[in-house]
Amino acid sequence: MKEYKTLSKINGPLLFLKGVSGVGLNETAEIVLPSGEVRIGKVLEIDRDTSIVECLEGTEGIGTDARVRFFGKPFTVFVSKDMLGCTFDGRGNPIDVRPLAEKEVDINTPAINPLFRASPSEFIETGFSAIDGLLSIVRGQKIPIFSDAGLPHIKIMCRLAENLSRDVVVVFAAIGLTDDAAEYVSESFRQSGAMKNTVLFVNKAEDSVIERTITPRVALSVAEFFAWDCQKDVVVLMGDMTNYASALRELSSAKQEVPGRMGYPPYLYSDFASIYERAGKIRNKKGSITQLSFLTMPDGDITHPIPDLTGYITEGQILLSAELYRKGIFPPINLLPSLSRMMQHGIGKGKTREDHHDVSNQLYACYAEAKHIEDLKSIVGEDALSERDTQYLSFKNAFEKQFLAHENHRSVNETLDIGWNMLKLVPKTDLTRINPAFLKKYGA
Amino acid sequence: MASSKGRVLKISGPVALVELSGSKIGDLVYIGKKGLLSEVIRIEANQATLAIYEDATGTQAGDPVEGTGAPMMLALGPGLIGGVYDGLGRRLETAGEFMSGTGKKTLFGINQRKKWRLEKTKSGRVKQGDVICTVRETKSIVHKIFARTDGKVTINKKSCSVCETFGELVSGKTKVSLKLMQSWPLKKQRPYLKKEFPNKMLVTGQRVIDSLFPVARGGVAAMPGGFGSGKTVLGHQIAKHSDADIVIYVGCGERGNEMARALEEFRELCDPNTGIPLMERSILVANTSNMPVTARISSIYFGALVGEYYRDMGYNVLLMVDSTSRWAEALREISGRLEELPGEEGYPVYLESLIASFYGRAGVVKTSSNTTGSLTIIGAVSPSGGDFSEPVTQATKKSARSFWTLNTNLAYRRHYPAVDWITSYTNHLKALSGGIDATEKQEMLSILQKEKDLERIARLVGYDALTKKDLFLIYIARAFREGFLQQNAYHEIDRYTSIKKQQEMFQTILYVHKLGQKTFNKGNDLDFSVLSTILEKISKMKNEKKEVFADLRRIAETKLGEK
Repeated sequence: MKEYKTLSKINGPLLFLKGVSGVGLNETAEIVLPSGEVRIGKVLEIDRDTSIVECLEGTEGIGTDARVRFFGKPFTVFVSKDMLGCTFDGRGNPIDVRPLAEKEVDINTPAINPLFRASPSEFIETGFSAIDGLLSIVRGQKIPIFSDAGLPHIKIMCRLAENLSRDVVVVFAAIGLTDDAAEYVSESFRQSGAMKNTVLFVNKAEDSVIERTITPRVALSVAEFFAWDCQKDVVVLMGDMTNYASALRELSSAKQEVPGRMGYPPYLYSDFASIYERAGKIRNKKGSITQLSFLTMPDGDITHPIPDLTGYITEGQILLSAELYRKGIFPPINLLPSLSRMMQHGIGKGKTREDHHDVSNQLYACYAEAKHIEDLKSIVGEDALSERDTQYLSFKNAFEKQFLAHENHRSVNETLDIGWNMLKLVPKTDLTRINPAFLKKYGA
Repeated sequence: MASSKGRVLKISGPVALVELSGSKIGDLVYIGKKGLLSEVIRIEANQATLAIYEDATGTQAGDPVEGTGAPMMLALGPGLIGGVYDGLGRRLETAGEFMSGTGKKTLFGINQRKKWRLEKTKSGRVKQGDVICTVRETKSIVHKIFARTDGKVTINKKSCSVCETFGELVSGKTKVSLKLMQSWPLKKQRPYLKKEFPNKMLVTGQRVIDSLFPVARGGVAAMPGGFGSGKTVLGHQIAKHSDADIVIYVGCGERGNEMARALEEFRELCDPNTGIPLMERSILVANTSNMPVTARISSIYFGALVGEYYRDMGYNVLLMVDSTSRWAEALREISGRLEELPGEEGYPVYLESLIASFYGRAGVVKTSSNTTGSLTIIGAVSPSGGDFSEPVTQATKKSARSFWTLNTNLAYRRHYPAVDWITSYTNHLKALSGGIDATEKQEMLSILQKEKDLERIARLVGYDALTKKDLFLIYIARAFREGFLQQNAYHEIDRYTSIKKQQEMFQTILYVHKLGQKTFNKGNDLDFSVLSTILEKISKMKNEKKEVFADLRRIAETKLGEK
C-alpha cells in the first residue's frame, strides 16, 4: 500500500495528486479525510507524477489535507454464494447482512473470446404472454425494455424478477432510482418471495454519479461468479440505463473531454458494450448470463443516443406504449416495433412447442393487419368497414385485453393456447402462416 | 529497424504519451510490463502519442516502452483461410475464453508448424510476377507464391512450413531466400498494375439484390439501416452465398452472440455453388463491441489487406464489413482522446477521406503478376437514429455504386430483407453482365412505384373504389413483393436462389402481368380468384426445389388469356 498527502487540485469529482509513482491505470484508491472518514476512488489518468483520481462518493468536504492510499489493484468486489437474499449498495457494500466472502473479483472483466461463445438457444420463461409468445428470450441473450417516464417499467421488472427467480438466479441492479422506487422494488421482492433467489444492488438517485457507473459492473461481476464459477443460469435485471448514461456524461464533462452527440462522451457506445456484452454463454460451461435492462427514452424518442446506441448492441428491444397503458393494458408492450433477435433459435419443437413459430408469426401478422384497419377506420368511418374488417377489430380488442394483458404467471403452453383462441376470431382463410397440420391439431 | 527504449509519461484510457526518440508515425510500440501492442499516432520532439490496442489497466507512469522501429507487420501466407481472427490478425483460438491483453507474445495469424507440399515448382530463370510454386491451401483455393524480382530460382524442398526457407532467388548479386510467408505492414495497400472496369456482377443469391440492385465484382456496395432492420442477417446471407472465391467477413464492433452464431453457421454450411464447406473459402474477423476500440480500427485494414493479398493471386474476393459505423465511431473516440478539433457530429474531420480511401481499395485489377483479380467491398452502415443524413452514411454514399437502404418500417412489417426498393439504387457506369434485363427491371420498379401511389388512394377512398385494372396491378405488385422480394434467410431452399431461378420467377410474374394487361386492353374482365391462385403458386416457388415455371406460365395462359 502506498499513501500520499499531496493533493494539489480538486475539480468536481476529480482529485489531482502530485508526486505519485508506481500507480497504475484504473487502480483503486482510498481517500482518508482528517476526520477519519474513508471514501473510495479510482485512478483515471496518470500524467508523469500526477495521478487523477475519481472519487466515488463525491468530493464534498475533501480538502488538500486529505490523504490518498493506493492498493495496487483495480476496483474489486467480494462475492459468494451466500449473497443470495442480500441487499447491497451500488458499490457492493452490504446493507443488511454481510455474507462471507469466497472470492475477490475485478469489476471489469475482459471480453469473452467470441470463438468460445456458445450461441444461445434455450428458451427462458418470463411468464408474460407478450414476451414468451411473441418476443421469446433465450438464455444468454441481452434485451432492453425501452420505456418512458410514467410507464410501469419498475413494476414489470419486479414481476419479471418474481417469475424468473423460480428457476434462475436473479441479480437486480437498481441504477439511480428514486427513494420510493427503490423501496417499492425491495418491498415487492420480499413480498413475492423472489428475494431468496436474488442479489439486489441499489444505487439511489441521491448517491454519487461515480457509484452509478460502477453499480452495473459490480452486479455483473456477481452474476459472472454465479454463472461461470457456480454454473448457474443467471438473469441480470438492471436499469435505469438512462441514469447510467447521464452519470457518464457528467463525469466526462468534469474530465473536460470533447463531447460527442448531445454532450454524451464519444465512447458511450464502447462503454455500453462493455456492460451489455457481458451477457452470454460459454462453450463447455453450464451457466449463462441473460440481461434484461430497462431505460427511459428521453421524451419517448427512440432516436435519442441512449436507446439508439443500446439498440445497436442488444439483441432486440421491447417497447412499452403509453397508449396501451392508458387503455389499462398491463404489461403495455408495443409489439410491432419490438423484436427479439434470438427468438427463432429458442422456440419450436423440443424447445417450447411445435406450433410456436407459426402461431407467433400469425398473431403478428393479424395484429399488424388489425392496426392497419383501425387506422383506416379513423379515415373512412366505422360504417365503411367490411365484415372482415370488423372481425379484425374485435380480434385486436380481445388480443390486447386477453393475450397481452394479464397479471398472473402464464406458462408458454397457456400462452400459445390463448393465442389459438385469439386466432379463432379472424377468418380461417387468413391463417396463411400456419401449417395446416397444426391448424387441425390446435385450431379446432 | 533499430529498436529504441523509453518510458510512459501519461496514460488515459487507450491513449498514452511516452518518451521515445526516433519513432515514426505508424510504428509498432510495446508498452508497459506486459508489452501491450500500440501504435505511434503523433510525435512531438522526443515524445510520442500511442494508441493502445489492448486493455491498459495497471499501466503506470514510468513503465518501460519499446519501439520496434517498424510498423505493425502481418504474416501473409498459406493457412490464413479458415481462420477466425481478432482485429489485429491474431488467431482467436490461441487466446483463452476471456480476452485479456496478451502483449507481444503472439502476432502471428498463421500456423507455423504445418507442412505444405510445394506443387508446380518452377526453377531456373523467372521474371518478376512469375509463379514460383503453389500450395493447395484448401479444396478450392490454390495459394500462389510469386517471384518478386527477375532472377534465377533454385528450389531445394518438396514441402515446408511457412517460416522455412525452401529455396533461393538470385538476381544479379543479391540472393533472396524464398519462404511461403511474407510480412506486410498492416495499413499499407498492396500494389497492382492498373484498375479495370468492373463489368461482371457478383451473384449473392439474394433476389432483391441480384435482380434489382446488383453489385459488381470489384464494386462497392453500402448497406445502411437502423437497428432491427436486418443488416446483420443480410450481411451473413451474402457472405455465405455469394459466388466470390474467397469471402472475408469482418464483424467490426458487433454483437458477441451474433458473432458466435455466425461462426457456428459458417462451420456447418457449404458453399451453394461448389458444395465445399464454407470455411474452406472464408476468413472471419471478430472484434465484438467490447473488445479494445483501437483494434476495431485495425480490423477493417486487416480485412482489406488479406483481401488484396488473395486478389493478387487472381481470385475474386468479397470483403464484408459489419459495421463501418463502429469503425468510424472508434476513430471518433480516439480523435476525442487526442483532443483534435471535431468535425460534424464529433467525427474527426478526416473521416470522409479515410472512408473514401478504404473503399478505394475495391476494384478489378490487373495484378503485379499480370493476372486479373477483384476485391469487392460491401459495408454495412449503422446510422445513428436511423437518420441517413449523418456523416458516415453520406461519406459512404460517395464511394458506393450500389446502395441498399434497409428500411425499419419494412422490417416492422416483417418484410425481409428490408431493402427499400424506392430509395435503393445501383449505379454502375458500365452495365453488368448476367442479371435481369434492364427494361424488365424498370417495368417491375414502376409497378411497385404505382402500387405505392394506389395504396395511398385506396387508404383514402377504399379498395372498392379502385378500377379493376388498378386492383390487378396491386395483385401483381403484391406477388412481386411477397413472392419475390421477400426472402427467408432461415428457409433451407429460400435462403439462396440461383440467377436462373431468379430470372424465371421474375419473368413469370411479368408474364402474368402482360397477360392481364392484354385481357384488359381487349376490354375483357379478369377472374381475380383464378389470378390469385396462380400468383400464389408462383410465390410458393421460392420454397420449392422443383421448378415448374413453364407449367405455371401455361396455366396462366389458358386460364387468364382466354376470358
